[in-house]
Amino acid sequence: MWQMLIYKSWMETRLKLLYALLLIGGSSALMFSVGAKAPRSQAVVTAQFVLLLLAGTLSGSGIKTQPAFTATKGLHGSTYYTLSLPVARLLLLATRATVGWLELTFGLGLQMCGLWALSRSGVGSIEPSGMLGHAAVMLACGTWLYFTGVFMDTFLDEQWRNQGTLVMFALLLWLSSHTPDAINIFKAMNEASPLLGHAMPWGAMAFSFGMASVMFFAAWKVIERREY
Amino acid sequence: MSDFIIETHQLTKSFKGQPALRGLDLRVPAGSIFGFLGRNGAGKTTTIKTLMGLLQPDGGTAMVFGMPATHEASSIKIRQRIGFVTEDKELYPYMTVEQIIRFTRAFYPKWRVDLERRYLQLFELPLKRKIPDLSKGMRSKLMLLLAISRGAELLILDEPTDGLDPAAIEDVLRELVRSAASGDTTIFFSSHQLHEVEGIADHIGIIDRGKMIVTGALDDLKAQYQRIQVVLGDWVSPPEHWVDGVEHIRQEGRVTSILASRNVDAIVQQAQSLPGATVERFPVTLKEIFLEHVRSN
Repeated sequence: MWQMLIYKSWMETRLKLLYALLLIGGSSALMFSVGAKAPRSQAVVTAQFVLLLLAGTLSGSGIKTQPAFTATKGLHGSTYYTLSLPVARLLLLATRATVGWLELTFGLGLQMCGLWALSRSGVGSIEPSGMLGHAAVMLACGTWLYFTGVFMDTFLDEQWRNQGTLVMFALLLWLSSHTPDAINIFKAMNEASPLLGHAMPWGAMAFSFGMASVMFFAAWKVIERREY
Repeated sequence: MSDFIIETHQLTKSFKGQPALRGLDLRVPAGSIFGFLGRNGAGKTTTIKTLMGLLQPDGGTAMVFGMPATHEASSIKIRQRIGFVTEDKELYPYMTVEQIIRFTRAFYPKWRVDLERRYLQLFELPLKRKIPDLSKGMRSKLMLLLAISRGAELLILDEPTDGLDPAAIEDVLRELVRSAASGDTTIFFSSHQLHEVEGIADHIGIIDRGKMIVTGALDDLKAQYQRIQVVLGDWVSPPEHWVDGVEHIRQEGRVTSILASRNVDAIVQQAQSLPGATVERFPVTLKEIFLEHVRSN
């Protein structure tokens, strides 16, 4: 049963993942074109920007049927088909969220490979430990952003989901300016990144996972009570 | 367990203060083909969504197979035993016919491969075609295949023949009757096509403004309801008060047409007692029962 839910999630997200991969390819190519002139911090900022788009694009709550191309207003009728299946809403949510998160991880992995290749071509040598550390930070901090997208998907109309999620990310970015450095995920992914020689920001990573859990729980509570 | 597969008691539901169900009492006997009738906005889809666990009622109870449809754990058990055809017949736009069948099959351990093959052949469904490329009629047939092949004990069908051509309607109705006759399947379906309901249903319920206004075995209702036509003599006026049981009276010149739901013999006697009156009684159709009730409600 859950294999079929994974299959459904994959069918819904495969084109989104393709867009995301094209975006990663494009951003990596851009960085390559800048080549040796590109400072390492610029690569870090680009990676963060791509992460935000990945988290917004790949997130989903598993209840609504998500279109591959154009989002239309209101629920797609097949949402009722999903809800008529003998499956708990929590399982629908968990499966879709997991598939999207794995795709996010895959996308991030590719992006890190791009960064690594970039470092070999002139951005300046990066220690493998710094690279791996940065990848771990990106994944950990991206998880909160991703699950924020999952939460937004539970109540936002598909037509406004992407915009709403990006507005939420902007709000989180603004809030981060009032957040202590120790738990500031944007800082952890940027100027405090291990890629730039800093220590691992364990506090921010743990805080991010905690907030991701809160977002998942909130998403569950919304879809548990929501009427369709 | 109760003799009723579906049983609601005083079910209420409002949307933004607008009542959609106002104390609905619905009883669907096991093994029946139950036609659920009502005008647009009468509360049919709200009832069906509540039975499927998609809506939470404001009050009352909704039981399916003796389990509350409003609790998620029991709703999952209920949905395991239900085949459902939605009103708009929408399925996942990114899947083909073959993929949606494979997908759905995984959720139902009692999936009937024999029925799947039979309906694929009968409805001539193209396995490799994407769902958006199917006509609405084809989608209706596909949904019916997906509902019946589950080996469901209860089929809940919201306007199952909507969008079908006459030949396809015949096919679908015949298969529904076959499905009900061949086993322990109960069919609960909503429709606006009264002649279709009359053709296959053995029980009906008419809902209007969120309340059940008529329900029972179709044969009993048709036996119970009669139209009495009274042609009055010159200068004779119809009585102001008729015997209890008159649902509706229509007066055209000297002809009085009465729809009676009970005490038919007493009403006929009263009519015959009028000077010079000729009285005839006629059976009524489901359409007449439906129209008289929803207009007078």
